Amino acid sequence: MSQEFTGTNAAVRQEKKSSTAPGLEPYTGTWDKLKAAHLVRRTHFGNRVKDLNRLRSAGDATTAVNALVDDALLTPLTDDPAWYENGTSGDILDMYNIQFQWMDSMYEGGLLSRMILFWSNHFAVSYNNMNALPDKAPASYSSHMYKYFKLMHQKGMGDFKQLVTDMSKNSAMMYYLNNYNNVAGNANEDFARELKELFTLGTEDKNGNPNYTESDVAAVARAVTGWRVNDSNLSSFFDESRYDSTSKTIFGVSENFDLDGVVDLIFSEKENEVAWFICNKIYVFFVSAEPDSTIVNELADYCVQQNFDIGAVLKKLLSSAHFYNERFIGCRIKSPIEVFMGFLRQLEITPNNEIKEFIRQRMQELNEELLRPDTVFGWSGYNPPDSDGTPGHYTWLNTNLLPSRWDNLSDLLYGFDNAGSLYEPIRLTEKISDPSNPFSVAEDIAEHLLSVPLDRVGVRIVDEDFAGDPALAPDTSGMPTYKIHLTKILLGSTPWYEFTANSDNQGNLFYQDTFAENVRQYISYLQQLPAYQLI
Amino acid sequence: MCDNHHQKKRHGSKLEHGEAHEHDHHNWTRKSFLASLGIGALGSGMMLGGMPVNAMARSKFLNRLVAANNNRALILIQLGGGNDGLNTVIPVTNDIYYQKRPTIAITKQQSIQLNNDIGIHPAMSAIESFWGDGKLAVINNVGYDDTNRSHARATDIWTTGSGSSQNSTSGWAGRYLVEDNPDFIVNPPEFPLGVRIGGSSTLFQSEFGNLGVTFGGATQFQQFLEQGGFYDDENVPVNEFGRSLSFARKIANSSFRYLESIQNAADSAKNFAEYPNSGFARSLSVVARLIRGGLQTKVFLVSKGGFDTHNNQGGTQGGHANLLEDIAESVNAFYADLETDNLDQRALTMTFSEFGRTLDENSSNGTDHGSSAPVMAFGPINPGIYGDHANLTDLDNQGDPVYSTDYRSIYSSILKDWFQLEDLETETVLSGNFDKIDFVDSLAVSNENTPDSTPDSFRLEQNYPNPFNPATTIGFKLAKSGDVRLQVFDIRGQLVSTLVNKRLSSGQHKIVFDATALASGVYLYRLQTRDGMLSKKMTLIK
Repeated sequence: MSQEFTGTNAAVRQEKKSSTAPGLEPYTGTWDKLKAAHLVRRTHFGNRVKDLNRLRSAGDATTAVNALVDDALLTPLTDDPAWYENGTSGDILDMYNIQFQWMDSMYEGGLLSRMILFWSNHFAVSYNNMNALPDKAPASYSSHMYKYFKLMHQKGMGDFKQLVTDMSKNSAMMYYLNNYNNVAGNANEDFARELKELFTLGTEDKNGNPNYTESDVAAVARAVTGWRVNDSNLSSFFDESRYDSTSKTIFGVSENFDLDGVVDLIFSEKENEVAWFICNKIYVFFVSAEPDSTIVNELADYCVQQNFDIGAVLKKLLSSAHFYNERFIGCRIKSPIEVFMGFLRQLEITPNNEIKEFIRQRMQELNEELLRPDTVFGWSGYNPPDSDGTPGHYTWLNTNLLPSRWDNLSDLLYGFDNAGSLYEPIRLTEKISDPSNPFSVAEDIAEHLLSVPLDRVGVRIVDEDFAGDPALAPDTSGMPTYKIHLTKILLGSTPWYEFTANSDNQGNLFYQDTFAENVRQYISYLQQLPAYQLI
Repeated sequence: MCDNHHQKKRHGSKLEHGEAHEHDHHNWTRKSFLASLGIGALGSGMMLGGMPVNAMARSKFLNRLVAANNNRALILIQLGGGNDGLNTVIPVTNDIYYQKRPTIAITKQQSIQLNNDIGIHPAMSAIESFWGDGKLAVINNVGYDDTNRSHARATDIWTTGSGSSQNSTSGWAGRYLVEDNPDFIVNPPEFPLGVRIGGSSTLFQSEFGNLGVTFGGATQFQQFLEQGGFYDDENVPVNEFGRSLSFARKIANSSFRYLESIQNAADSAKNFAEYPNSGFARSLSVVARLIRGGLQTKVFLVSKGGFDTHNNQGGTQGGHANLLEDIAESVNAFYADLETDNLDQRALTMTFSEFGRTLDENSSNGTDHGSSAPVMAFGPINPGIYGDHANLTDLDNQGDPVYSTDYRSIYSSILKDWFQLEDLETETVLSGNFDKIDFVDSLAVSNENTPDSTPDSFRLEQNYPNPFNPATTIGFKLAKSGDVRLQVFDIRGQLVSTLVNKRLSSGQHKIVFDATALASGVYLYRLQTRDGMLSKKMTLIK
């Protein structure tokens, strides 16, 4: 893949090709905090202490990853919301309720929620754009969307072919790509094209050869005719009278294909292309926005061997030596939902309805809302590089979106603008550090919030000495420079020996207002570092 | 970013579903409002989040716009740790002082005498000439009720401008800057309202977030100039991580909306004096450079720590003497620099510290956390000593002086006489009425933005008729031909109409303003020329 980057200098670009990373063999190096935290950040929505502790205690990468994937496979469906059980709904607030339910599982859950995000980008269905559901099913679109969401939960960790089949027949998808109204004699190519271009093959294979022709598209469009949606039971059904039962020639094979037949054909005739296409996307989503073709090829071979078992592919990739190479730690730019949920999870702010509504609105304003991709391609930020080689995740940041992120996270920290309440930092500090030792607090909070090794962060250089009595100046010998500066930033004009936690008569620790504010301002400083945008 | 090959299939993203739109309309927020104006985020770079636009503040926009711009700067020097005021401004004829401080006291002969009873520490000889030249004011015995002796809390009190039992989350300078720029949310300036080089970040906190751009020191400032922003986007690892880091840093650098104004100011100005070799001096040299470069920042904060002299603070020599020497030499260099092109008249400097120190010296030849202390002001001031020195017989229950001047009186004087706030506005900033002291030279510089802005070069007439409906005529006169812009704003500071934006010949001009499409209310019209700008109000009644 030829790489041309906007936003990187020529020297960086040139040297890129000379370096190599390890392969898909299992990672057997030290299972330390750095590696375990990398796994948590990439498989959950940001680092959270309890998830880090759990995965670290697994002892090695393979054990940790197997547990993660198996947990995801076993994650039970949550109870359907009352509005869904009480008949079909076309109420926008119920649609928001789906988003809120998902945010809850992002906050509490593990890999499954992340995989749902992957699929909601891969099998993009937007609840509210032009040509979207409310126009076609005004009284039931929220319910259709919930069923779509549930399908990703139920099938998202298993057989990819089965997921493609089920998704093709999902009522929300039928509506979104207009296959609900695809009649013999006047076939609609919308779904037929996306089934190949977006869901299974892509337009070209890894060598740049076309995966299908326009006549294949026309033939598939005929093969998938006949499907309708029943709004009252939220299901699709096949109406033989609308089906084109004449022979179709697809990939040079002539037969009377129907929808199932087309999926079978794609997975038999083009299994290597499908495997490469989906593995490339998985790699970009979990490892790096700049796919490594050697690794993707290997992963695709493995995917075929495993009969498209997504869980097995994830186990292979996430426990590989490749995944834990330092060049990939902090190499992905956070997506909007990763910014929000990651911040909440890092600080252990459980999202109540007010916070979820705050997040929903902020994401809507920036056109980044859940279950509402801009186009059928999903979000460029999650997708492989554009044709000119620009990594997709660059679209997450520009000079408008980045300051919005700063503002939004500050709102969450201070409870401004209906974003919850003022953050009290003592419990987190107690959990990850020594609340009365500002040097530890500064380093531990920074390490907790940033994916990037602290010596790479680019910390503000503070010229002035530590505040306080010069005779009591702290001994900073042997302390890394970044730690000295970070501590000065945390302390400001507070002498280091005054910064301390108190306890009430029940023994609960608390910070005096002024120290709590020190920590909040420090967190605010950290979240505005460019390095904070990386995961 | 290329997405041509995507074009064929865009399903569009603009059409709002009616119901969703209606729901969200109820949740219209400040950010939605800003987004609708195309501002999105404030993009201030170092800005914290804010609260909803304060209608009260916004309504003042009109008055502030009518008032001429003010090019005065305030430089606050924070003496971190609690400066020993009694050894800075010394009661050289007070026996109690000498009894309580057997080893560290400064004798009358050693001191630099300001008058018969008051001397300053000899280490400050660099500013001795300030006294003779009328550039130094001393305000004695400044403090507040129930002095708090914790560094952190006492610093908060001084920077928030609150009483010892009040908690405030905003700084007094932050509140002033909001008061002075009520429309900055919708009309953010291209320059930072505050610049902080060390010191307490609380000073610039406001209801809209932190208004101060922070530099860790002259070292970071230099880096900032060299890198074209706060972050180095070139020195990164050559791999996936490094490229992403570089990209995020580039975006962060260019998201900092004040980048250009600070760079321009720094690029177009140099320092014209030799500064001492200290971090504090270098911070002041940065301030001088920014002022000379035309940065319109109103408040600068620089700091020097180490004043927490519990041990071996010394008398004429020693730790405290070294600190004061650095302050005096740096301030001297700062004004020598500014005086080369008369910029000193725009720069008022004052020192403050979270508390003074104990009257008694302790057993380590130092002093502990105390109460009131003097404030020094430099530059365009009315020279003199204000207020009585601490009465060392009337002490608080810890044996330290009882203040005689509330520290907020100093802020009040600066706000009224230097920044020319009205009484009511000053009370809003300080949450109360504090008598001002006349140490600020309120006539030091013209309060006009440009010195040429005399009524002779151009004149803006009152519209006629006024009040009007629906049309009125605005007349103005130009002494010479030049580029002219005449604009109308509404009460919230929104541009309503640009009536003229071109080169006009000298002489009388009349423009008809038709307000048929507008609602009743007060509007403002503003004439901008090369020589300055003038504004007037008009009233539309329908």
